[in-house]
Amino acid sequence: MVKLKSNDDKEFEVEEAAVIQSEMIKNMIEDGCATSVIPLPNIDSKTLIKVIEYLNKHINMGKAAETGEEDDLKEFDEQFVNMGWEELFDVIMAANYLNIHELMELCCQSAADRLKNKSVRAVREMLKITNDLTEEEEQEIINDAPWAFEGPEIDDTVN
Amino acid sequence: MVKKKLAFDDIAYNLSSDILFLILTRVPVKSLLRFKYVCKAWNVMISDNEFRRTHRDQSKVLAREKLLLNKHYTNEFEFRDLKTSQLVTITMGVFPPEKFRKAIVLCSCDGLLLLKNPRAYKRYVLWNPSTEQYQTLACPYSKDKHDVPNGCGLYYDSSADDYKVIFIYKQNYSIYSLNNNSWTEKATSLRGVVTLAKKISLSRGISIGGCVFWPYYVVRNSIIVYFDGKSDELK
Repeated sequence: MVKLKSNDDKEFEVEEAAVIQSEMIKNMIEDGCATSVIPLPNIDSKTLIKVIEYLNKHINMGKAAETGEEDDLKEFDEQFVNMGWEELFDVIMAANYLNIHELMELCCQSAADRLKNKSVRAVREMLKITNDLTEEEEQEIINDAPWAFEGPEIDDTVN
Repeated sequence: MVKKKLAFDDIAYNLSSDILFLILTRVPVKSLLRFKYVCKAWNVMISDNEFRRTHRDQSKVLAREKLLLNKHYTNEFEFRDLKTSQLVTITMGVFPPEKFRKAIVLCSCDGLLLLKNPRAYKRYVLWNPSTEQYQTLACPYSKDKHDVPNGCGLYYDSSADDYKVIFIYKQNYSIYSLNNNSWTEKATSLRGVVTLAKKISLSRGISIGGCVFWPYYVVRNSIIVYFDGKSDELK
């Protein structure tokens, strides 16, 4: 078992087989630096619980294909990324810090799929971005590819 | 007051540009071209060359490649999704410039097309249908005015991060670099090339992994001539 500590001082015990999906912790264990509690100053307990949930589910990724659990895993992944933007970004940051490649892929793809086909207004609202372009810059962007601003698939809803 | 605040600071979420980069390289082209309009930082990021390269490689990983069908005589292009087995037509398009109406596709590589007007031998064009950008090419200088190219192809030179066009003539071959917008000429010496050159019609090359291949059929034989983009050699 490996002990992880979140930045709000909560400790979590995780099986070594699960936690080594994190390249960062795997390296720490290999270097013998993981004898006591590993402090994670960038991750809060709420996010860490999500990450551990993912790690435990994906513990035997290789075996899943043999035992026919692939669909189950796929369903889990779909459910897993079903969270708000803020939570999703927290998990992405944690996955990036801990260097968990598969989790990073999953979450970034989910974020990209949410943005896909959205209108500019919707993207700004979803991610709380303020437009800072000058009028000339805006005109230039539209002139470059006016067709990108038209089409039936463009979605103006925010969700 | 000097406005030098990066737009990322405006994002309520604590999101670094590295992570935004990873997310946006997974968004399809049309949405991206629109997302340049979101804010300055997004415009800068999406317009960057490194971003384009990563996006292209990512699109390959995601198998977002499309099948292109070119309808002769109507000059329509159909793009179909390869992911779904039913082959749903996504868009129908017509190549924009008037001069290249009824153009034929000579070669394609990474979603870039080399087109030619069937009635003229001096004018070619490179077209990227997903961004609708195009670049016309004037045919390189040739000693003999009536000398027309016998083979042509398009390939990606990974060492220079450049797309290049090759034209084969009877005596030499010329390579066009899209980055530099210029031609370089080289002499040919191979027998295989000479036989290829005897062919009257223009042979269309097939571009795979930085090389261009031309299948060529002689009476009892078939030869494949190929150009290796890495070593700049015809074989």
